[in-house]
Amino acid sequence: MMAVTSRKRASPPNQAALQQRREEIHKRHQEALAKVEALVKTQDELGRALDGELKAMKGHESALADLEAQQADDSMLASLMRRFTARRVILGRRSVAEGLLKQYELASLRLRQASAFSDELRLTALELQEQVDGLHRERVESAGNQRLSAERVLQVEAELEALEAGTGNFTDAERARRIDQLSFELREESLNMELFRVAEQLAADSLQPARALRDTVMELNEGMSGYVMKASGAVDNAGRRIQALGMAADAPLVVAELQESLSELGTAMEVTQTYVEQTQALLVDVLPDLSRRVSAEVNGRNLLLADSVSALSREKARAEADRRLRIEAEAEVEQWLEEGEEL
Amino acid sequence: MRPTPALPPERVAGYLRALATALDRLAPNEDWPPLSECLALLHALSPECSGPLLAPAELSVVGLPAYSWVSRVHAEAVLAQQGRDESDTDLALIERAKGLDPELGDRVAGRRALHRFLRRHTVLPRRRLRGALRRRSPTLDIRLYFDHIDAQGYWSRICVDLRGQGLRIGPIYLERDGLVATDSGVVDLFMRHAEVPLLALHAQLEETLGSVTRLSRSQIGPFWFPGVALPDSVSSSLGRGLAMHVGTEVFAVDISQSYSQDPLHPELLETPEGMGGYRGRRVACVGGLVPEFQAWAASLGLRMQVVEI
Repeated sequence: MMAVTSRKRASPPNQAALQQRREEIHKRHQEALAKVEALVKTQDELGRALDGELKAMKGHESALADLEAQQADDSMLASLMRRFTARRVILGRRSVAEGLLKQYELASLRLRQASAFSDELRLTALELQEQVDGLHRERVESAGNQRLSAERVLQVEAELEALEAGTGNFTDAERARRIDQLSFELREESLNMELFRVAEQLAADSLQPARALRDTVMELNEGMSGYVMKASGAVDNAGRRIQALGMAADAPLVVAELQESLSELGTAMEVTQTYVEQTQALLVDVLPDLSRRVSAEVNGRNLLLADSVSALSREKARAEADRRLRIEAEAEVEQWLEEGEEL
Repeated sequence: MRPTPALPPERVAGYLRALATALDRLAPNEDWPPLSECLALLHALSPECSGPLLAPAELSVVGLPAYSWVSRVHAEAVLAQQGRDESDTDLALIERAKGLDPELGDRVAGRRALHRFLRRHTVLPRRRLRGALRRRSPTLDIRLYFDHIDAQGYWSRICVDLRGQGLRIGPIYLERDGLVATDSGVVDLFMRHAEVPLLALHAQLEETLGSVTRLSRSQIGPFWFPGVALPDSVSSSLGRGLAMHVGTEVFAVDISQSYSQDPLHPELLETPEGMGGYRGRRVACVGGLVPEFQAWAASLGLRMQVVEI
């Protein structure tokens, strides 16, 4: 006779509950997928808008180059002309500075938008991680309950065999009643074991798309927050220079300072371009694959439970219980070995 | 370029409260940017409204919030107007976010509170030009207000009184409903010349807009507090506590004799023909500094209004 385990098995889910749970998980994944798709598209639009705005800022470069060339020209003619063109040059510097200031404000607005979006991504990633954690918990609990059921199946089977072999001091009627009772319990516990197996399988199958969704959002978040950080630094620096110089663009030094600003913005633009390309890759490759995975999850498992339950015989139940405990035992040995290696 | 100092996070709310109190005590009139908008801007910047959303709290060389810090509020104001209260992150999700990542939760909560505030209040803009009709006949008198945060970080307003005939003064005109409108280039004109000496600004405005009867440039700031660099002409003892300044310089046809009551700029303004000039300054400071500020002005033979914060 097997030792009775002290841990209490939870009530098994019924078929309807399992079906409902399967649909729930699937629906949640579909919703998350729709959200991820919307997030990727928003991110793509945002990256492009930023890219366009930063390019417009760079457009002032040629105007500055002309101003610098005029400034550097030390020919006699240029020196004579400078007296007459001085005012135009000053106005030219101011125009560039004003243009840059307005562009900076636009880029700055986009960065705030990107920052809000990055927070939204982070929150979505955390929620998806919560879902992954929940599925892991469900899987472990179902496996534990399945093990308890398997132990009970083997225990009942042993009691049944003993009764059938004539052991024990029972009247025929009492023996027959006990055999009937244990047979009933055996079938019921076998069904429970199967239900727990399906619940574990359901959690295990749902883990992969949940992880894929989480990883995609995390990838977006890492890209976006890294990008926001780098671009913000560069755009802020440029903004400080532009603001400080813009209104008093009288000194020739201003041209050099404005060029410095443009160079900082150039850095931000390069980061943007890389980021936009990465998002494009997500749109083209990752999203369709993710969509396929979520759509395919649990498909084909609809009939699994009904098929396996109808085919469940006493021999099969015993074999399944044995198999279940063997898997558990192997998993435990593996864990010990791993722990031993770590030690 | 001098680096922009940043306040430690724990000092930001106190700094902004002190600034708001001082400004409120000075109660600047309509020659300065509107008090309500200034106070709304300070409230929006405060972690008490927006949490950590607008960090870092950078200061300009005149001790006021730096352009980069203020710019974040203006960008958020545009985003706030694009949304509605109903589309803001709901409180349950914010609580959830706080549980998952407190820092993220605080940022999301700050964004929600700030957007709601910005939908209900107007904050001092980066720049704005407005016009008001003062008289329709026998002359057309129009006043223009140009508000902006200048390159040094002062919150500044230029007021220009213009006089003309009919319905138009240069690029400024009356609409059918009596509102004053301007051609788009007028803002650029102010942006380009807002910080030149007042005499040069006057010349530029006369040349481009028309007859100027009064011109003032009034600034909020500087804000002095321990650690801020004071001008060379000022005793370091005046930097021992909080002191908020509002200064003004005015040209007007009705000022018969130029004078200055500004200890920072005691010299007289160079004025255009037919106008007198005035410079003035008021200060709100902590109680202990009131006598020192009064003594500073008196030492130069000037009278300056000093109020206690």
